[in-house]
Amino acid sequence: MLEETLVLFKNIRNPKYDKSLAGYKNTGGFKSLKKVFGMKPEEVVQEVKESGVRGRGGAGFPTGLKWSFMAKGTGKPSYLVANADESEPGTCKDRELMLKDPHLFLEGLMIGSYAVGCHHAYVYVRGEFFPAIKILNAAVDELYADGLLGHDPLGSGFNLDITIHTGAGAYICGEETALLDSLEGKRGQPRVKPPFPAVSGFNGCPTSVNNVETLACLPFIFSDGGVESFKSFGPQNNSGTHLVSLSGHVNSPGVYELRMDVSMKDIIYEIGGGIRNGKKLKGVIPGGSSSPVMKADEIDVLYNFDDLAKIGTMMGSSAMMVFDEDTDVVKLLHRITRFYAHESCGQCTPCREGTHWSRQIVRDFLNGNGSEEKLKRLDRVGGNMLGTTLCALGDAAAMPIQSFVNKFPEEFRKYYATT
Amino acid sequence: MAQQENEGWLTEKWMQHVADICEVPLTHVEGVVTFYTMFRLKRPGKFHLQVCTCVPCCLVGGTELLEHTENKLNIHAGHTTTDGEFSIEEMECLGACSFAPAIIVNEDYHEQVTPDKMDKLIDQLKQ
Repeated sequence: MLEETLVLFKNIRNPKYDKSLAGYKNTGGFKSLKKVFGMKPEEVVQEVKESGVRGRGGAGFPTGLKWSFMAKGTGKPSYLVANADESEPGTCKDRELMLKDPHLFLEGLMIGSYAVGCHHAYVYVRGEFFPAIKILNAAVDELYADGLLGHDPLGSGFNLDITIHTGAGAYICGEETALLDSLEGKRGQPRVKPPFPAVSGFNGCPTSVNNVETLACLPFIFSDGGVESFKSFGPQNNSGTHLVSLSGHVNSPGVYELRMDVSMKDIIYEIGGGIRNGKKLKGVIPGGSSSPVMKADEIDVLYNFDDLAKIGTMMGSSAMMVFDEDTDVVKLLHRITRFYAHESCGQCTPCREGTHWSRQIVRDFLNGNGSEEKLKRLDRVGGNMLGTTLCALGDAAAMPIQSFVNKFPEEFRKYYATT
Repeated sequence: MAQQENEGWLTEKWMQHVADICEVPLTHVEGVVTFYTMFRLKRPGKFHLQVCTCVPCCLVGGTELLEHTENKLNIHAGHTTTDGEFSIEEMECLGACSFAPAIIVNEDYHEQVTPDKMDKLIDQLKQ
């Protein structure tokens, strides 16, 4: 029987765990930070590279490598920003970490700040997360009161402040450059890259933006023997555990911490308890609503970055949305296209127009006005968004459209065969 | 913050106030306000029901929950009841997908909400 591997959820799964600073310290909290303060920042970056941890926000970019791109000797301050704007449909893992073990994440943020030479770190939390915002603010206050933040924590000679900044409701602000614009008090619209944030980010200074879960991995990586254990939790290049947000038609939806060498089939049937009401599986959206959909016969695959990429989809933010045989995939795609039409920032024409056109075409099918020509047009509108926009939202909108059309064409045809 | 001071919505007077403090033109403030969904230019109800119907929620009854709520309060999403008590807003992903369907009432999350639970919640809030 498949079980969870507890690294990030070690405390959360303990029903007696006290998430206050004292409770976190009792479980060995801040030992890693102390160890890190005894190392040189370059050594810390090297160690993170060695661990192979990849960004958990969706792109899967190696974290150590991202940090090594940070411009040095510019005379400007460096910033580390935690991306807590969790808004990819299906994803609810960072919320768990922030609500139930805030100090684990904050220790990770402090380790990261030391590594990139940041003296003022920001946490950009989505505005709707009212409970998490309160908890994070209280946790930061505790750290200041304890002397772990501010001037010279643990006698390290390193100064660090943390500010919790709230968003105001925009999916696009999860994109790192839009997030930085939003943090600066502007509309959250993605920037032209290059320059990348590592060179010119927050207020034009070198900045690294990292996901909450990625940062929460750091205390473990810097515990004794952490790097080796971390690497052992998955195949090469897919190290560590990850938090899987399982939702949709399974018997036991939830957020589960799993190794990266378990199959999707086992996750759905063993961890998720199978499909509810004894129904059959029809498909899975494997990594947030942006990822290409998979059919039921494709799920015998390891759930990690590389194995999913090999079969033409992606693990994204590890958000698995499962749907059963009774699901109308045209309606499902309509809901997805509505989401992107609502969330497009309107900056690039292919995305601004394409997201609305695709929504209208799918709606035509639902209204009984579908046709073979429209099915082809839908696929084409998707193709025109792919790779033609400043940020990945265009791709994110295109991938579900094209995969739904290509994998379930008969479902669309049902809508015009009968009319 | 201006929105919180003004019962959850913004007027031009408040936006001008923010523009003065930040030393930016009013148009800049209006641009930001209209970009984000959490800034409101209409007064919400005393209890603002934000119902998620995004992908994971719609798979397990979020859309039906929204319809149920609209029928119960006899208003459409985007509107406020005539007594000013309740308003409904259809939301995109609230980030509580494994606990769907999710709603937020003012600042509180409620998870795995069924039409029954919604009825009870509304009745409670009315008191």
